[in-house]
Parts: sequence; C-alpha cells; structure tokens
Amino acid sequence: MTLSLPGAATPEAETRLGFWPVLNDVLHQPAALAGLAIVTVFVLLGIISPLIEPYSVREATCAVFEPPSWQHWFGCDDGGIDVFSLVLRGGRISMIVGATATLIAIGIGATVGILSGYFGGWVDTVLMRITDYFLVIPQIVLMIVIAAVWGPSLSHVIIVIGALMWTSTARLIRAQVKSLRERVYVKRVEALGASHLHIIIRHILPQIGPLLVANTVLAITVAIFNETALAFLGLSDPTAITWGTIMEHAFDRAAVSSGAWWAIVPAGVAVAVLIMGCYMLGRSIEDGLNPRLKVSYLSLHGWKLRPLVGRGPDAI
Amino acid sequence: MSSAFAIQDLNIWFGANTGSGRAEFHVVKNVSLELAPGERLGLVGESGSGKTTTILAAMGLLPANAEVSGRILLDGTDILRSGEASVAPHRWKDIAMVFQGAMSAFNPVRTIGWQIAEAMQMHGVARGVAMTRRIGELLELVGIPADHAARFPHQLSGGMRQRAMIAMALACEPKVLLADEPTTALDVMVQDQVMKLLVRLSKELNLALVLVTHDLAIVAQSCHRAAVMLKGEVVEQGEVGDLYHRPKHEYTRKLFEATPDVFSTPGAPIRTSPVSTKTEPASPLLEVRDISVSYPRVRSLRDVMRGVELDVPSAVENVSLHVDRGEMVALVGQSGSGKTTTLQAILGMVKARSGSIHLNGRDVTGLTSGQWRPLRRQVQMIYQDPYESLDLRYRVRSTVEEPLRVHGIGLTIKERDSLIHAALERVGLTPVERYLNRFPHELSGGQRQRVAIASAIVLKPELLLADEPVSMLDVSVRAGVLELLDELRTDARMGILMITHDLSTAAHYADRIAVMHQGRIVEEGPAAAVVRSPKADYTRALLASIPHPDPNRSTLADLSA
Repeated sequence: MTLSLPGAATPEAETRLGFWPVLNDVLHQPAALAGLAIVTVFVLLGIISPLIEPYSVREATCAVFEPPSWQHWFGCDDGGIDVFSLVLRGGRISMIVGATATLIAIGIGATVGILSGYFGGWVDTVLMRITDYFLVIPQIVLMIVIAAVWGPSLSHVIIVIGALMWTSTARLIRAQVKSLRERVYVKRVEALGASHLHIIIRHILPQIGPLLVANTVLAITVAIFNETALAFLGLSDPTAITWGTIMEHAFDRAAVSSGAWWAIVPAGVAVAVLIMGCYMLGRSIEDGLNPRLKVSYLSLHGWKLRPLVGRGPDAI
Repeated sequence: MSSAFAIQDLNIWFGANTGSGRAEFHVVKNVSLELAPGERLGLVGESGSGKTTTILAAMGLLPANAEVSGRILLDGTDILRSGEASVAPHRWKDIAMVFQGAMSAFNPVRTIGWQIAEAMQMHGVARGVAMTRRIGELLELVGIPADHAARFPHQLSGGMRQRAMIAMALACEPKVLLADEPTTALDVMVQDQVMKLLVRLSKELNLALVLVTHDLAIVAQSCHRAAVMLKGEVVEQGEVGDLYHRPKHEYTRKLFEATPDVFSTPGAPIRTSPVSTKTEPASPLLEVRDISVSYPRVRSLRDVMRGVELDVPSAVENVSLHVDRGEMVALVGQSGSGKTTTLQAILGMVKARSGSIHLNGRDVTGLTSGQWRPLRRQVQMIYQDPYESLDLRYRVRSTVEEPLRVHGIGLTIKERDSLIHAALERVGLTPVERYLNRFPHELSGGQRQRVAIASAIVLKPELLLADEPVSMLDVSVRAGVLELLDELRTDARMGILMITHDLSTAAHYADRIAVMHQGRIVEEGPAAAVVRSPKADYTRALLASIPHPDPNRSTLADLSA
C-alpha cells in the first residue's frame, strides 16, 4: 500500500533478488553464521569420525556404565563402550540418513509442486489429491508396518521419511509457482513462443531456488529428528549406530534407573544442537527471502525527529 | 493571508541497512509549502520525487526507518515539535488524508458506515444517534445515498469507494485534506467526478487541500497553485496559470510539453490518414471478425448433472478490427471494457467463443499452443508494466537474446550478438555496450520499457500488440516510448494495435481509433474524426471528462455556479 512506498524507494530493496544476492545477504546475519558454523562442525566431525574416535565402537574398552572421566569424556554405556566414540559415529549415520531422506523428499516435493502449480487444471487436481493422501498417513504406524513386514533397516527408514515428508514442500512450491505463473514476465516469455520446459528451467526454477534451499535445510532437521524418533522406538536397524539407537539401547538397558545419565544425554544434546543449527540457518534464509519482514510492520518504534541544531543542509 | 497549513524546511531521510553498513537517502530536501483556508495546492512530480513522502510526514505516518526535520504548522502551531506525540492528536481531527487505493484502504469485512464511525469514535466527535445521522450526512455530502452506509466496500464501485474514502476523511471535520493520487486508479469519467467533488468540498467546507498527483492536467483544472517536485526538492511553485503559460524551470516546461492534449490547437498535426494502401497485399495484416470471448465459470456438479448450461456474460462481444502493415490502431476504453481480453484473444492466450481471427490471411482462431509457437515470431506483445514484464535476474543481453534462443535464430554467438545490437540500437539504448550487462533494476522505467520492446522486435514481428505501453511510465518519458512505436510503424512497417485508456495519446499517435465500451466497439474511425466529431454518446462523454492542461480552459470551473 501507500505506506510501504518510501521503503520500497530505496535501491537495495530491489537488488536483493536472485539466488546469490539472497545467500550473500543471509550470511551477514549472526544467526545464519552461527547455524552455519554448527552444521559445518557436525558435518566435519561426521566425515572424519572413524579417524578421531578414541576407542572402538564395537568392543568394550571400560566398565559397564563407567562415569565420565579424563579417559572417557562421556563415560561408558551398558556394554562398556566409550560413549564419546559412539556419539561421533552415530552422528555420521544420522546425518547421512537425514540428508538422503531430505533429498528424496525435496526432489519429489519440488517436482510435484512445480508440475501442479505450473500446469494447474486437472494435473493440479490429481497431484494435490495424491499429496493430500500422503499427508494423512501416520509416519510411525507406517514405519511399524514396514518394519514388521520387511524387517527394520536403515534404507526403510530413509524411504519412509522421504516418502512422507515431501507433502509440505510440494504445497509450498505449488503456491509459489502458481503466483510466479501469473507474473507478467512469465506471460511475456510464453508469448515469445517459449516452451513450458524452457520457462520452468529458465524462469521458474531460479526464482524458487533459494526457497528450496531454505526448505531443504529445514527439512533436514525434521528428517534427523524423525530418524532419531523411529530409532528410539526400535523401528530402525538395531545394528546400526545412530543417535537414536544409542539412546534406545541406553534406555532399554536401564541407564536411567541406574543413574547413568551420560549414556543418554550426549546423543540427545547432539541431536538438539544440530537441529538448532539447521533451523537457525534455514530460518535466516527464509527471512532473507522475505525482506518485508525487516521493514516497519513489525517495528515497535516510529519515525524519528532529527534536530537541526548545529547542522544545516550542508552538514549532511 | 493567514495560513491554515504550512510546511517549512521539511527534510526527510530514509535509512537502509545494506549488507555491510547503513546507507542514507535524503528523499525530501528543504520543502516549504503554505496553504490558506479553502486553497487548493497541487503537488506535482514523477514517481520517486518525494511528494507522497512529504504528505505522509505531515500525517506522521512515515515508516520507522525515516528521520524528519523541519516544521509543519497547523494554524501557526508546529505539530512536528515533539514528533509522533504532537502529531497524533491532530491526525484525522485537523489533518485528514485520502489514500490512493480505495480498495486497500478499506477493511473488506466491515461496512462503510462502521469504518466511518470508527474514525469518529476514536476522536470522540460523535456517538449514538447523532453519529448515525452524521454518517448519513457525510455520505450525502460526497454524493452517496445515506442508506449505503450498511454496504461493504466490495459492493461499491471504484468511484463510490473513493467518495466513501473522502467521506471518511471528512468525518472529524478536518481543516486540511491531503489527497494522495486520489484518482490515479480510476477511469477518466470517474476521475472527473471525484475531482469535481473534491473541489466542491474544498469550497463548501473551506478546506485547505493538498493534491498529490503526477497529472498536470488535473492540477490545472482543480487547483489554485501548484508546486513541482523533482528529486525531493520543490523546483517551482506558483499559480497554475503562471506555471502553464510562463514556466520558469526547465522541468516544469518539460512536464507540460509531455502532457498530451487531446484538444490541441486546430493547426496541430493530429495524424492524418496513413500512406496509401494501394501497394499493400490484399489481405490485411490482422483481421478480427466478430469475435466474442467469455470467461467460463466452473459449473457446479449439480449443474453438470442437471445439464444446466451457465449463462456466461461475454467479456468481448462481436468485436471486429483490422490492422494493416504500417498502421497504428488504438483501442480506447475504460478498465473492464474488454480491451485486454481482445488482445489476449488475438494472441491466442484465451479462446474466442465465436468469430475468427486472421493473421496475414491465415486463420489462427482455434490453434493449439503448440501450433501457435512458430507463429509467435510474427506477433509480439508489449506489456503495460515494464517493472513486471522483465525477469529481474536477467541482464539486458539475456533478455533480448532469449527470444532468439527460443526460436533458434542465429547459430553463432556473433550472429545473435549483431541482432541484439541492432534491436537495442533500434529502441534507442545507445551506446549499446553500456546497457548490455545491466540488470533491469539498474534501468529507469522508460529504459526498461525499451528493453521490453527490443526483446519483442528482435524477432522482427509484423504485428505488435501494445497493452497500455506507457501508462506506468512517468509523463516525461512517455512521449519517447510512443515516438519509438511510431518509428517502428513507419520505418519497419509494423502494424501496431495499442490499447490505451487515454484518448489524448490515441489521438496523437494512432491512425485509427476504436472506442470500446462494455465489450463492444461503439465507434471506429480515423483518429482525427473520432476526436473532433465523435458520433457515439460514449465517446463524447469520454472526451468531455478529459482534464485540460490549460487552467483557463477549465472544465471544472463551471461548478462554482
């Protein structure tokens, strides 16, 4: 409306468009930097974990439920295995599962969303009804069924998370594409005689790119969280070491009742911190995409008076 | 002369956080204005000149990133003295504002009456029965029947909404009324009525009125004085007559020159009939015969089962048009008259229900989008808003190159480059090198429109469809873009079908004018004939409502009687 005009008149309100400018803008926010730092540290630790694990993750190296000490920073679990090494190794698999499931989810979600939003009509109706159907499948129940039928395994966890998580991405992308579809420049390119594929690849995809990135980062948090939850319920591969199975084992074997908090807490904190990092990064990208959030609507203070004492127009 | 309202040395800065630091924009510089009671002042300027910001400062409605200095005097007291705290008590009570978009300034889920009452309750002006009576009075004052108070904004027409907006502004009997482009979104005829209303109110209620607009003709017809703003400064201020006859500042003169004048002096060269068509091939470039278009509504399942056909109103009914090579035809009409739909049908973007469209003698009426694609080279479209019609992530080079890629023209980069250069030169973006690597946001509105035109003509089309190609541009650059279209018409022998709501523009540049009203063409003929001796009543009414830039030839003056 009229009131937003003065804000829009500033030049950089317009320059912040496109993929790289947005990301560049995002990386100047403290929250984004902190999130990025957390994620980077976790990813690096995950990659080099086999090299830096102080003890074996398969064989006992200390007493059952030995409390934390200088030799075993996070103590030991019920089998006498070093928890610090377990958490390092568990993060590796948790993150791989989370990232793979997210890629599947975003891939399906983006494809469905773009097709649905771009073509509209019956394509939209069919795809959205399918989406609605997937939206109401309860994840845990499906996982229990799959674990019961095919046996628990990591790939089943990935498939279930991936196949159920794409719905929100699809709806989000569809809404964006639907509005982009009505933009004059898309109409103009269509009137130039461009094919649908050309328009989607050259004009639609780059516009929703940053949104997809934000969505991916946010989806990873959900995927890791879900993986942990499913593993904790014993629906994942019991032999794989993930943060979820670490906690499940400890819980199963009475770590809580014997007061061995160190068997459960480190993995839980690791999940929480990684999710927080991803969330901070994802939200910063989302905010960067929506510069309107930054202007006056949410601001509590109003315009200011500038005293002219001692400064004329020349002093400016 | 005691002043009712004065702005003294107003300066406004906007701060903005850029990636690395804080930048500041000085958007209003030392603006001083003064109004006596009952006086009407026009604040004229192009977009971004700071005119809206100036009056928002007087209302204390600036966004949080603004800093203000200067004085705003209301009956001699400085209401800006303690910032928001001292402005707030006067807002709406002494200074009221009419906003630009009447639709978005109303709450859609409340009745008009409720929203007017809200303003009065807020300031404790009236309550109970007295308030209901007052709302009725206010509505009658602006020419809306009192019982319309129970209506919702969407139940009123655009003009009525703007009137209701004015009634709301008058609710607390202000002494000063600030009107921000009150008629910009309205059609000429409604604009005429709203302006007459504002002038009448200012006379009857002794209101000081500041009218912010980019349209000099409106100011000339309705205001005593005018202030011309350029880049945040008032460059000239004076009686409207003086400004029109003896502009001192270069910019004022330019603005008046750029304002098209449909009633231009008899000797002025309104375009006469074009070059003889004898040498042209027999079939016209574009021939539209009796097309009707209706937007189908989705039938409910029940209707489908019963086999009920919905009675759909036609957006376009039995429209016939033809455009020859080297000819510009203007399609004139108000919003909602079906102009754009006609263009969409010609472009094959919407299906015509009946009738036929021939392009170069070829029937294109029922073609699928796949069959259309190779033909798109021949017909290109220029859109209204150059801020919307360019992909902001594309440099000028890529924007102009895109059509070549789409149609597989020019095998080598060199070949394509020379075509791009030629097109950009053609539209006057020279030297070409300076523009090739720019992004749209680094260009002015006029330059953007030229880029859009370049990307249309790089395909060397025979027919150009232009949908209000200059209505979003500032007055001073309009002429340039229209001249360019005119050159394309004469030099490249393109046929141009231009939509416009502005009869003056049509009269100056088009060979023929077709006037459209409610989906039908009510009058068609050579431009000069349509403007000088209109046959249809509607055309006559349209002509009568166009404001004249010469204040002495007032069309609004007669209402003082």
